[in-house]
This record gives sequence, structure tokens and C-alpha cells, in this order.
Amino acid sequence: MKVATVQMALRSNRLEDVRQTLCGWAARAKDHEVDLVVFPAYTGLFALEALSGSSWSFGPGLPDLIGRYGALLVEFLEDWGRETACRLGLHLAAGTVLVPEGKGIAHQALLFGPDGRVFRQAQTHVSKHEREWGLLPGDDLEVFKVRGVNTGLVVATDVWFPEVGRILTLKSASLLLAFTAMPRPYGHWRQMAGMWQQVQQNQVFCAESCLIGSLGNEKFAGRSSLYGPCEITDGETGIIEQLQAPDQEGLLIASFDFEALARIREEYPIHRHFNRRLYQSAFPGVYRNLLFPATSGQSS
Amino acid sequence: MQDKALRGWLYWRSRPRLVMASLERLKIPRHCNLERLDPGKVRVAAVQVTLELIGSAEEYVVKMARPALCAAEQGAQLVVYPEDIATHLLGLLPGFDQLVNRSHSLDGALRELGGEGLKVADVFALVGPAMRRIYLATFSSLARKLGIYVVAGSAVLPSVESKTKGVYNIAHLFGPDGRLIGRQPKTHLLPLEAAWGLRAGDTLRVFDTSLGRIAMPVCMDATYFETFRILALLGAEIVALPVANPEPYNFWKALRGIWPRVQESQVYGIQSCLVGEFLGLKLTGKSGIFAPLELTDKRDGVIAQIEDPTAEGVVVADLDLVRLRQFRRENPLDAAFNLALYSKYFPGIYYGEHACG
Repeated sequence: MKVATVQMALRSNRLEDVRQTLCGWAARAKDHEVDLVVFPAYTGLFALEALSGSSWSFGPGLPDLIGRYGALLVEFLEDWGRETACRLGLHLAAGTVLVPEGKGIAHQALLFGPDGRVFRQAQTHVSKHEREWGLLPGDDLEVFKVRGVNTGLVVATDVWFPEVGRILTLKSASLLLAFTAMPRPYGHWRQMAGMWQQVQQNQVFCAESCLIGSLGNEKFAGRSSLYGPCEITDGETGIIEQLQAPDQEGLLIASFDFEALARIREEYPIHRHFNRRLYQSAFPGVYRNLLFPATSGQSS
Repeated sequence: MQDKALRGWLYWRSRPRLVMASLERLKIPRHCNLERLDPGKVRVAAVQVTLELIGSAEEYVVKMARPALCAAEQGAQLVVYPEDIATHLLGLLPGFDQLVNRSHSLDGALRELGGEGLKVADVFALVGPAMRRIYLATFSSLARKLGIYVVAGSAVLPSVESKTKGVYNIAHLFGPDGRLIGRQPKTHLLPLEAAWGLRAGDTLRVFDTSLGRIAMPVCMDATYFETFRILALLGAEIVALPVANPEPYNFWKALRGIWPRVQESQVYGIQSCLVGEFLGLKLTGKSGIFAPLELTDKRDGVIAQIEDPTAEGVVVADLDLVRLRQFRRENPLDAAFNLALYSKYFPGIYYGEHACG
């Protein structure tokens, strides 16, 4: 499977410019005859300023703004995503959008098939900071077919929670698509603690797409990457391709060899050595013991 | 009959008096490293040790004492040893050293020793009682004489508990009075160890000490996020990880163990590696002391690390538990935990159709 991942910034708030920019990146990927192209987090918010008529920022005012314009943002991203996926005949992970959810908002990734079907995945782990601006977590993780490959979507903060990769791969995912928007300043090791390690401990491929530049009064940086298990990457780095600059736009393209992946899973079957009796006794109760205060430990 | 005689001989060769006498000859001074306790400055050491056959309790004591002395002289309050740190004592078996010279693999040596049906676990079951006596006496005495905490790495030993028969890879923690504070069997085996006939433990524990809350999973346990997640949720602040990694050193592959686990679970990590070539296995690793990125000077998660992945060494650094606790309060992981999601999938998903094994 040939995959492209886009690293991009919002350059103009005019609706037509946004659409053209997104179309341009998808077309560039298609020129390389890819099966799948992945866009970064918050592409759906690229249209927010144009639709609301004013600048906005990530913060407590977001639920109100999304309450008013969320449906339009989804419509914008869906129209573009569906039309582009069908026209180019590829799978298109269109990035993410914020949608109204009760009194808060949900952060959803959208994946379009070449037949126009859309799959959605909400972010499931919401940081304290994100909670302050009204984000609510989804409570399920789904696996979708992309060219016959079981694929999971990892949204924003979820990249730092290994539970996400574990659940998705145990639901049969061999490919993870990650949509990120990491605040500046860029931290190389911070990024490595995310999808790279989820790939290693689950023996899957991953395409990670990073938002860069400014959006909603925040600045973002990252290095879009294509990862695989160390054993089947050059130099055993676990990195198939990675953009060099965390603040420059670019397109990464590589092929994922799922036969090689199957071989390494057979040769070194990490999942075969799960300790189910341990997990049975610890999960999910151990999460409820919350947490870290001085009185919570079990001692000998 | 022959087996009984061998056991008797091993028992004689492992009497604790030999350990004590050897330690007396070393004239180890008691250190005052634990007299002043400051959670803002817990001095810890990771020691890197080569694996080689040792044929006597006396030699074993000398080899194990050297790095602990070095660490204690630098003020270490906790010293962590590597995985499989009693395997040296296979040298107690008469003629095993010559067998090793003739065979270039463990399997080959075992075939010569006992025929096709013999498993590695069987050998450890035979030598285990003698190994245990020397191993426990050595590290208990070292901890007591130096007056510090010692995570005595791990040892492959037959279980002493009647309800858990079999051979396990078990880490041990000794207090400054020489008392055994706790044991931790390895819970995730290397495929190689499973083939050897070892068994995995199925509990994880955290031990209260005057330095902080210490856990000690073993090597492969760090490949699985579940281990560190459970330990952190049980209150671990310092996770000591004895390691024996049987492959040539590769930075990226080495990065798949303790480093991401420390980042995910907001603990300090101390990794101690067994190194050297032994029966066709090339053991490598860089012992080191790790922390969440935000608590390290270079924002790389590494406080201190040994440079050479093949040689012996000692690395010492200070942990700031006050800062760790503050970091956890300011960046609470639990705020983002999704209990509804976990309740839906854990632990059932590990038994699902796509979970191997």
C-alpha cells in the first residue's frame, strides 16, 4: 500500500483558498499514485474564521462557537473530503473537525473511501488543558478497512496513550493513522514518545500527519512521519520516512509492506506473550484506584 | 543417586559461610548514605555487569561487591543490578565451563549435559537451590554491610512457594538492614525464556521504602505498557528494571523498553544491563537513569547513561521525588484516562479473536 502524509499550515482564511490548498495537497499525493493520503488535525477548523467572520482562539469560548458553526465546518470538510476521495479514487483521511456534543465539543477524525463512504473516530483521551476548552472524550475505538487493511484512527492527544494503540491493534488494526497538532516549541522526544512507540509495541505501520503554523491563536510544530517496526525499517530505526523540518510544509510518501509486517509478527510475536492473568486481575480496576496520591500504593 | 550426590555437593559449595568469609576479606565499610533522607535528592546507581561463569561463592561475592562499593562511595542510596545476575553460578556445575568452551550455544551445552529432553529450566531447577543460597547471602550482606538499598537484579530460580511450582525469573529488593523487602517474578517472558521452560509471574507489586515507592519488573516486562501502567497506578515512583538483552546493541531497539514506559507513566526509571558474550548469546545494553522528558536537562528523558553497551560500568544520579510529585500534580494523567473506554475493552480484548497466543 502506498501512503502519503501531508504536513501543512493554514495560509489563508478565505474559504475558497482553504479548499484549493487542501485539493492541491491531495492532487500532489495522487500524482505519486498513492492509495491513501492523510491530512493533519484541525483541517476542519481551517474554515472557522471565514464562516464566523472573525478570528477565534482555542479556549473556553470554543463550545459556543462550535455550537453555532460546527455543522457548517463538518459540511465543509465532508463535501471536500468525499468529493476529493471519489474524484481521485483514493482513501482520504481528511484530518479532524470539532463538532457539538451536548454542552461541549467532540474532536472527530474523518476518513473517506473512494466510494464516498465516511468513517468517523472521536478523540478518546482529553487532557486537562483540552477539557478546559470544552472537549469531551469519545468512548469507543473503531477499525475501518482501507484497501483491505484494517485501519485505526488516532486523534491528537490519543497518540500519548498506549491504551489506544493496544485496543485498536487487538481489534485487528495493522495500520494506524495519526492526526496531530503539537504546540510549539517542537520537542523531538515528545513526538517520539507518541506514535513511534505505539508502533513498536504493537507491530503495526503508522502514518502520522502534523499540523504546523498558526491556528486559533496557537502555534504548532511537528515532523510528519511514516513508522514501522524497527526490524523492517532501514537502520532498524522504526522510521520509514520523516520530514526534516518541524516548521515546513511537505509531503511524505512511502509504501507499507504488509507481508513483511506479517513475517515480523510471526518471528517475534509480542502479543503472544501477553500476561492475561495479570491483566485480568488488574484491569480495569487499577484505573479506578486513582492515582499517584501517597496513599494509593500496594506494598509488600 | 548421581543427582542426589550432585545436589549435596552443590549444597556444600553454596554454604553462606563462604559468602560471609569472602565479604569479611573485602573489608567493606558501612556507609552513611541513608542517614540523611531527602526526597528531593535520592541518589541511585545502575550497574552494568558482564556475564561469565563463576565456579565459587567467593569469586561471585568479589565480582558482585565491586560495583556496589563503587556506587556506595559515590553516595548511592539504592543500587540496581542486572537481570539474570545469578546465572554466573552455573559455573558451580562441575565441568560446565568446559562444556561451554566446547558448545557454542546453550541448547548445545544442554544436549551434551543431559540429552535432547533437558530444558534450561531443568538445569536451573537443579542448580537453583545452591544459586539461591549464594545469591541471597551475597546481596543481603552487601545491602547490610553498605547500609543501602539493593535491587539484586533478577535470578532464575525454582519457586519456593508451594502454590507456584516451576522456575521463575525473580527480582529481589534488600533493605539497608539486609532484610529481603520483596520479590517480583518477571511477568512477560522472552520467547527464548518460554522455550526454556520458565514460567511467568502474574502479579505486580510496589514496595514502600524510606527512599520512595519502588517497583522492579524485569526486562521484557518493559516491552508492555501494561506493566508500568499498573505499577504507576499502584503508586510506584521509582521503577528499577534489571535487563539482559540478547542481541547486538541498536539505539532504536533499545529505545523500545524503559524509555517510553517512563514517559507514559510519569515515574523515574533505573535500567541495569547484563552484558557480554555467553553461550552464543551476545548481551548488550546501556544502563541508565531515566525520567519524564520535562524533568531532564536536555528534555530527552535521560538523566545519565553508560556509554559503552558492552562493558561493565556504574552510573550514579539524583532523583528529585518532590519535583516528580509536583509534575504529576500539574500534568495529571488521570485527568485524561478514559474509564468508560477501558471498562469496555479491558481485560476482555486480550482474549479476543485477534489476540495471539
